[in-house]
Amino acid sequence: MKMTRLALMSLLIFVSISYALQIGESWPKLSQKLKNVDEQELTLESLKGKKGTLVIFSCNACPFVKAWEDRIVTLGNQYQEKGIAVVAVNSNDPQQVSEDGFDQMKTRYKEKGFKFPYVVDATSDIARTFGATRTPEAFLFDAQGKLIYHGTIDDNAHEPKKVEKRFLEQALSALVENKKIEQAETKAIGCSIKFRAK
Amino acid sequence: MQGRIQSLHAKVSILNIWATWCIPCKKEFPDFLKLYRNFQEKGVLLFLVSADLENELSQVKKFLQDHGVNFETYIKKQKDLEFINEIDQKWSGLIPTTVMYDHTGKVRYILEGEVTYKQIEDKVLELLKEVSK
Repeated sequence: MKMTRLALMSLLIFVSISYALQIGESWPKLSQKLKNVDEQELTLESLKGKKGTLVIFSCNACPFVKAWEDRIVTLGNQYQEKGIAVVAVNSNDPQQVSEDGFDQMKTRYKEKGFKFPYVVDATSDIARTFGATRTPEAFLFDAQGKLIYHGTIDDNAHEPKKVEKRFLEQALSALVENKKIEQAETKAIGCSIKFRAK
Repeated sequence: MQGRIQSLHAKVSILNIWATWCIPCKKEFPDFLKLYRNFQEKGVLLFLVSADLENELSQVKKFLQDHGVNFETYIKKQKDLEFINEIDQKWSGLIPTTVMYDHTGKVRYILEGEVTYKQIEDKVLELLKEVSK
């Protein structure tokens, strides 16, 4: 009886978050073109890797992205070499955040030494389809295109030396080594994605 | 935080998590102050919690001062994940977020992202109505 009451009470809480892809769900099918910083037009399907795919919703302006960016680029470059396709997606509307313009993305790409695509989600629909709401936010898919990890980078954005749990690195390593992911869903403070109007 | 909110027995409590670096937070901030002015006497309390780093305290204070905030506000001291779970386990960590509590101190709404005056006002009126029943 006590459990029923608790369950009923929890229904009263309304959480206004969009639906995000759930662990085990398939890679979304979208035909939208994504412009990479090298001016090439890519599709979501063309970005899919044979051994797995890491999609990170990112941007130029968010201080949490800035704090994690070196770690994101290092991990992305490292695991791309191990056969995981990696892509950073900027879904922010540059009209709301001028720092998120295409030229600024190109500059950031060069400065940080990305070796994987950094693309523009020109309608913000990629973020809507994934159910991404903040930056940075990572979605890792296995070779079959099933979501196996969703969440943050690690447990300390601002003090890299004090990181205790490297969530994304553990998930990537588990994927490559065919092991179990310790924590498939994690959360962290992040900036809201500045969606373009529909 | 929830303990503090419950101890004050407000008819409705609004907790807004904001930061000086957050553009939508700054945009919605005046609306929260306006709403508080309009509903304070009806038993509504506003808790402003900054998610800035402690070394950004001077910027936080300046922002609050510039907006004429003359009541007690808060700044995150815990690690990010502890902070998220202390606010509410259901919160994803996105900033801004607004949490609304009813007269019993229970969380009733977790609104992730920017909100408008009207959205918050509607929910305040709904929760106030419950008290008058």
